[in-house]
Amino acid sequence: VPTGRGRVIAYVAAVTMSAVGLLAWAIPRVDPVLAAIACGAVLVSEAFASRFRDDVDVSLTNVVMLVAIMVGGPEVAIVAAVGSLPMFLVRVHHMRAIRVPFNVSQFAIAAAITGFVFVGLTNVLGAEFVGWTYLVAVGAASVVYSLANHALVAAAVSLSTSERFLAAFRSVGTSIALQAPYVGIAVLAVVIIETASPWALLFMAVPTLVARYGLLAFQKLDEAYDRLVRSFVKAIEIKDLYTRGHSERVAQLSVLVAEELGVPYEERRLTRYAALLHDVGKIGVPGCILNKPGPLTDDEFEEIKKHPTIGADILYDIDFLTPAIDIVRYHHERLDGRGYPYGISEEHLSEIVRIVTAVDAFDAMTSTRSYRRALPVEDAIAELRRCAGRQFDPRMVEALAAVVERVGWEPTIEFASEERLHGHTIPVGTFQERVASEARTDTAEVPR
Amino acid sequence: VTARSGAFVRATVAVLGVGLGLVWWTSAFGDDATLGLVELALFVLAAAITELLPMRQPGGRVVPTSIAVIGAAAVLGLTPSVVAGVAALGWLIAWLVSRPETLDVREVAMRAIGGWALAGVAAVGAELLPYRWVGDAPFGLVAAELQVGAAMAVSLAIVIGLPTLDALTRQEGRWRFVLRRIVESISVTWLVGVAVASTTVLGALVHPVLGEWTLPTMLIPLFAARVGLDRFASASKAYEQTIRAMSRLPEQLGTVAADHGVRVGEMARDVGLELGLDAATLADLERAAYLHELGRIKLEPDAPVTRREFATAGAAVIHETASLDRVARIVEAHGVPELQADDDVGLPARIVAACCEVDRYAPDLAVEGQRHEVTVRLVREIGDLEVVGALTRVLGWADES
Repeated sequence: VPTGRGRVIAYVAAVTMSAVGLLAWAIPRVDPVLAAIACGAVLVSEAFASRFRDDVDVSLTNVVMLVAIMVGGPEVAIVAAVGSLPMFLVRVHHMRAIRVPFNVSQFAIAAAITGFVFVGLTNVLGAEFVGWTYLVAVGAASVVYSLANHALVAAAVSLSTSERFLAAFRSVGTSIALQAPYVGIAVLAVVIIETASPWALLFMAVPTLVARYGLLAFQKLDEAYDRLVRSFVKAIEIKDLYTRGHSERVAQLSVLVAEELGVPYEERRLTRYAALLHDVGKIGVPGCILNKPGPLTDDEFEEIKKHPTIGADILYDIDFLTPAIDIVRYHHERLDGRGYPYGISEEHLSEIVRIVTAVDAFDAMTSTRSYRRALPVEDAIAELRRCAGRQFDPRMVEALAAVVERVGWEPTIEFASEERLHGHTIPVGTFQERVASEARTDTAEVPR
Repeated sequence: VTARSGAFVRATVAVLGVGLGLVWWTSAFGDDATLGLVELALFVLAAAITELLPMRQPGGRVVPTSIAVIGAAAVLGLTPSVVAGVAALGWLIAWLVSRPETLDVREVAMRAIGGWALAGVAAVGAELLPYRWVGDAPFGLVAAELQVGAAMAVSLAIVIGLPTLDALTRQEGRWRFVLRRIVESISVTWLVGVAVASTTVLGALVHPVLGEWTLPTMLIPLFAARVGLDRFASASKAYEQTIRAMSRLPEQLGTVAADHGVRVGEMARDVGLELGLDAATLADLERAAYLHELGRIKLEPDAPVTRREFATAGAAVIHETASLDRVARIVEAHGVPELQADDDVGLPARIVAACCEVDRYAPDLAVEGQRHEVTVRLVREIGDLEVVGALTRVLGWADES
């Protein structure tokens, strides 16, 4: 039985050999000029691929393949796949060399399957350009291309990792949803090529390039936004010597837990920013309270309780954060309604609020604070489990436990240098000891 | 004066549109280009759908994508009254779907006049450049016939005419820098304009073959452009709103009055406009004005702090964002007069400092005598008569002086 690596190599070799066979069949049958144009179009579309979101790239290669099939048949589309080779060679330093022949070959095989399905369907339906049966055939071909492409990649992923084939195949849904515009663009392109001139494709290319410009600009601005928020959070955390990096860690861990629970992409993105900013209201709490060694007085704790409301007020005008502003407002609330500042109960706490609440407490326990040293990860998880059902959502606690085990999360101990503590020493004592020493049982479980 | 000038421009456009429409009415163009009732209904439907999906380039105005549908109708040779009807009906259907509280009759009228004007522009283009582009049809398809002059004229009207008109109606009495504002208006809408104009020509090009399928297919690339620009615009909006939100951080320390940053930001923008600053400098000026007190969050709130100290501390925070370098330099220079010699940041820094000073004395400004005193103080401390003059004009004190 071949090993994991052996199976991958055997699979890639089989895919590559199949593609070589298809090319040997197609090359003698194509018009060289048409094939060269199709290769060039694939090269350009791959070079101009852009990121729609973190987990979805968009390129017009699907459209080029469909147009090649409609204009010149499956053989032109098979040869067009070779056009992607230079782009994969350019990117070879970002990937393993074995991916180059695989990627080019899977394009050729997907194009062949799609082409034969399209030809078969147009014959069966007696489809004429441009009737509705023809559009049905193009639509079906587009879906087949996407399925074939994803199946070939998913098989490679499941052979090279422990991920199951169907799990690796899951992103196909998003891809099929994108096929409708591809079909429209492909039909439009064929009409232009057949009735006007290939130069008239420029009229179609302009909006497409504008789309690409928008996506690239978005990507760049999104990165700038990330830096902007992080630098502000960093500036705010200067005030609290002990929580430096806390927001960053809560954001990072919250997104991982959200992924573990299958939270959709857009919500995960919002969760990240809201978690990053969840303690922004601490700017309104005097530094002497935040950095106080030992227990707080009731008045001091009342001041601390204000920070979720202050934070939500500061962020109120940021429209895109509106769906996640509750993370900031309610991240110290409890399922049993005994949290602060509002004392609301579980029906008002959304899934993402519950995630951040659990992660915030976990990071607070596994970090050194002014009143105690960091707890080991296992102890913190045990504490969360003890409070699950009353303070934290058990589902979030278990997802968090799974994530910290998977990523090997370590407690944060050395983040505030001794010289910046202004002569204060971190009191010896664990979180449990602090809980035991405080009579305030209602709020003792809530790390500040 | 402002409302009058806006109304004057609108009236001029209306007259021009009607005039151009009349030119076409009497010309031969368009006689053989009428559409069937079903297709006409599809045009109205497409105009309605696209009305609901406008496009915006960050920093620019919202552009209705329905212009692509109206433009295609104009290039295809529909009569001005029909194009005006399509535009107005499309808007009304969109209004019924989105159900705003009140019906804005001016908007309906503007759509109708706009449709009429585009059809008129197409007619004039066809008269001036009376060529038809006939493509080859190797597979027995109907050859595309395109009125070259009409297509070019409509494209120019969309890419240059509309943003120019927009800039003229938004001058608010500031006619000194009108040319700059027109150029800026074009520069922040040209991408959308070119995408819309290309779609217009594309629609006319494929119509002989696709017929009723023209609208659903021609709009797909435009909607793809909308998705891309929409993501860009939403990120841009979030970025600016976050800067504005962060201007509230120092207020939480109790050392800065509520909404001081926002007020200074808005005032600085008006002064920048008054002084004719370019769009990029205006944007950085506004951001710097919002964030000019940010440095206080790094300093002890109870200790006395000089402007120089919090300006330097604020610049250090802003520098860390790695994308607001100029904003950081303006913030620093507003508290460190030696740095104002740098032409790139000197003027914006003085504007921020002046606006901040005025807002600090806001409670006293209701008294005319106090306003004179503040003006004198500004002249002495800011030392830039141009900035102080612009600020007094923005605040409406210039007449008193």
